[in-house]
Amino acid sequence: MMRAILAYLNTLCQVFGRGWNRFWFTPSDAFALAPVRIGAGLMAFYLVATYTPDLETFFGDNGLLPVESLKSLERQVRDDNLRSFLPATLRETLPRQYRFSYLDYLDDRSGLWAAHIAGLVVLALFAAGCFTRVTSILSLVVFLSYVHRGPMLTAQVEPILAFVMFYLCLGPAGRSLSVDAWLAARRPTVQPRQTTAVSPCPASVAATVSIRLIQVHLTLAYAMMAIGKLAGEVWWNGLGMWWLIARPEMRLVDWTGLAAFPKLVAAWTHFQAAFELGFAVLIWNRTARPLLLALSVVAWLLLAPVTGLVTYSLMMLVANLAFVSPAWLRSVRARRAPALI
Amino acid sequence: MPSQGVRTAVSFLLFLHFFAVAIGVASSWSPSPLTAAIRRVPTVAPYLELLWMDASYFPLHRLTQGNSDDTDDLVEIEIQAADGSTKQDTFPSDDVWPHQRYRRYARLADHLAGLADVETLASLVPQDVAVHFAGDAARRKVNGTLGKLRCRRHLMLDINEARSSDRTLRDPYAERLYQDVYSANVNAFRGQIQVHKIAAKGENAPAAAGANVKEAP
Repeated sequence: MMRAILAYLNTLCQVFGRGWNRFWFTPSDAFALAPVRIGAGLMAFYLVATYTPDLETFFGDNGLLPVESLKSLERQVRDDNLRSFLPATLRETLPRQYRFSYLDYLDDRSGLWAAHIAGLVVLALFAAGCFTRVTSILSLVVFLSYVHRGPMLTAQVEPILAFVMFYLCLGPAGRSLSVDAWLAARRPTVQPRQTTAVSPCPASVAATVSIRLIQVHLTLAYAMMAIGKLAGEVWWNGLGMWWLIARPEMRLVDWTGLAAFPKLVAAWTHFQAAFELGFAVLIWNRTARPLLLALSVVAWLLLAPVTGLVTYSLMMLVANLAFVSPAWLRSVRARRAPALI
Repeated sequence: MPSQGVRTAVSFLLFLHFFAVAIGVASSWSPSPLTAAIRRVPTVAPYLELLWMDASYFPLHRLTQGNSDDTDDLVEIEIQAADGSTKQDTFPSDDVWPHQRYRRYARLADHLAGLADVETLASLVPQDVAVHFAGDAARRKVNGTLGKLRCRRHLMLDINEARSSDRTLRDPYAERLYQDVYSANVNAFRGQIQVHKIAAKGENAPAAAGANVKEAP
């Protein structure tokens, strides 16, 4: 009996170890990171750029969010008992105990504007894939500095973008579709060490780790979103989408006319919850993956105008690109611009 | 594939990372004593919080539960100018563009409304709002009332009201759908701005404890 248990545990460890190594350490095409980098870079650039008209209103002298107030609020809500009295939708966007923002140290107008413009330049360079190894890390610092300086201005998009940008720092995100790649192509060629069947670039373990981290974390986020929905009555009784449609201030389009079609509203509600749950569970199945990715385009593009969560919806689509096959991405790119690959 | 040593080191780091992320997810929204204790372990909290990776993807990302926390809030501040006229500001304002800017002001208004029920936190955000909008007025008027600040919650129509044949019942901007969640007087005292939360009609409560008094600019 004992021998059988040990044999089983031995087999379990061996199978798990082989699977783990295959999952995390099989070299893969770094091309998969390029569209994610471009999408995340443009999103970060947009989010920071939209602070421009309100830079001094929020962060300037006598702005709406003085650093001292953030520290005071953080000290008071550190107590878990007090936090539990706050609305759930606020608890994750309060100032953190451990926070860093270079904007905290800029209290004069010129310094604030100089840092803002420098930040935008860094983010533009990252999106373009210029000196990507350095600009990916600097971009993360820039983005997180804005998040930590104004946590109460953040919502759904920032936590998603934060982990995507962090993981892009770990892989060769600038190896394709980038200024770095263009510059490298102009240098004398070197013999590639190892290539995949579809890629002219060397396969990379760092690319695998980076893309896998995005995939796993994104799946976790989808799972939590789905669990969050299923924990509430409105996503069961078919009114979840109605309560989003009915928010009069936030929406971009008024679809309250759907009140005349409650079964349609219920179908949309169930589709959204089922899609998020299905994505978390089935995205690892190669056969189901293209279907789920296609459904994700429908789900997020429908949700964006109704909720006004345009950046969040687009960011989810950008993160979903981590699941798209690099071979397919290359074939699409080759059809559109063969000379640029 | 990399060497055994590299794989072991990377695997160890991956394990630590996902352990921290799991603690972040579990401890962010409604922590158990265990997850709260693990989060307090040195390096876990700084790692998660500095990278903004402690989100649970739960309360915000489920989008709505159809309750009052999932409504929109508006902040209105009225300040008397030197000539006796009243200047009114509202945020979020419909005329800001692009929509991302609107969303930031809306989130700030959500925080003002959401903190209003906790006595020690209620006037933190209003104080900063008042200083921002009434700073000039406090310079002109050293003592006295400068104006008022209030936060209104815009409640939503339920699906039966929205399909009602009664036009007044299905009006999403009807006055009955607005609810005051925070009201305060904005006063100047010795050149400083103070926010006095109005606890009940006609009654001025003292400013909340803590940093609610600030120098005017």
